[in-house]
Amino acid sequence: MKIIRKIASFALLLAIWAPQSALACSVCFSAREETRAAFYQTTALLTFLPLLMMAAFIMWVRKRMKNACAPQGDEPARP
Amino acid sequence: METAIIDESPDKPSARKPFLPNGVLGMICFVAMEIMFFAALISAYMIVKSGMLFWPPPDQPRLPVVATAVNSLILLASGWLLFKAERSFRREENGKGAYRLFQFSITLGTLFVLIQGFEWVRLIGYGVTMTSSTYGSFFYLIIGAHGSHAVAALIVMALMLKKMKMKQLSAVDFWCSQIFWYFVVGVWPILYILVYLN
Repeated sequence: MKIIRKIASFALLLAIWAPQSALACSVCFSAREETRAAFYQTTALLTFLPLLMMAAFIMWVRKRMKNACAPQGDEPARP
Repeated sequence: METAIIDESPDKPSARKPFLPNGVLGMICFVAMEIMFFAALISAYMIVKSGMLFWPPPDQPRLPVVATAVNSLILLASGWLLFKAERSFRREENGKGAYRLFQFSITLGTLFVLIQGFEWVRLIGYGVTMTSSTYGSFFYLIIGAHGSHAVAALIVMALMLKKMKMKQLSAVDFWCSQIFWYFVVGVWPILYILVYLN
């Protein structure tokens, strides 16, 4: 049992020291700066777009609620 | 002396109108999903494009920028006519003015799809296909996805036009078809700038 532990510890130490810098990320098809920037931009787009849409929807609903509470003008409202 | 009897039974359901019709809410959710779908396509396109030294590839023919710009104006005009049709429909439900404007809007939308189809046939003739290069693949994927949405929206709007002619079109149905068409019109300038101009 002790031998197994020693081997496992030695393997762990090897795993920590052995690897060189790994090039296994998804941008490796192109190591250009433009690709890295594109990744940042698209990450921002896909992160913030749903949040923006939700915020726009909430604002629109609030505006609609305000209009529904206000006295009606000449123009008929949407159903 | 007469007295008014007011029914205040708590069991009786109130006849309140829904704040937002279910159809409209469903269409908004659908369009939000479609926006994310196009955002994902745009993201993939931007990343692949950023990894290329030359974009568009030198051996591939150039896209028809001017003809598509004119076609874009046709699509935008279609959206504007739909907006006017909706205003007219609100003033005089199932009136002739709204019907004509709606008809014009659908005609311009159909013209946009036909011109796009004509351009596609020309591009295939020049050698830009789905398998010719990454450039061709992305072009047909993104612009084709938009085109299929435009065709679907036109079918929906044609059905709404038929309903309007028969004076059976409800404001909610009209509103739903409008949301879908506005999405098709609104996403196009972004795709045009990204795919045709960059």
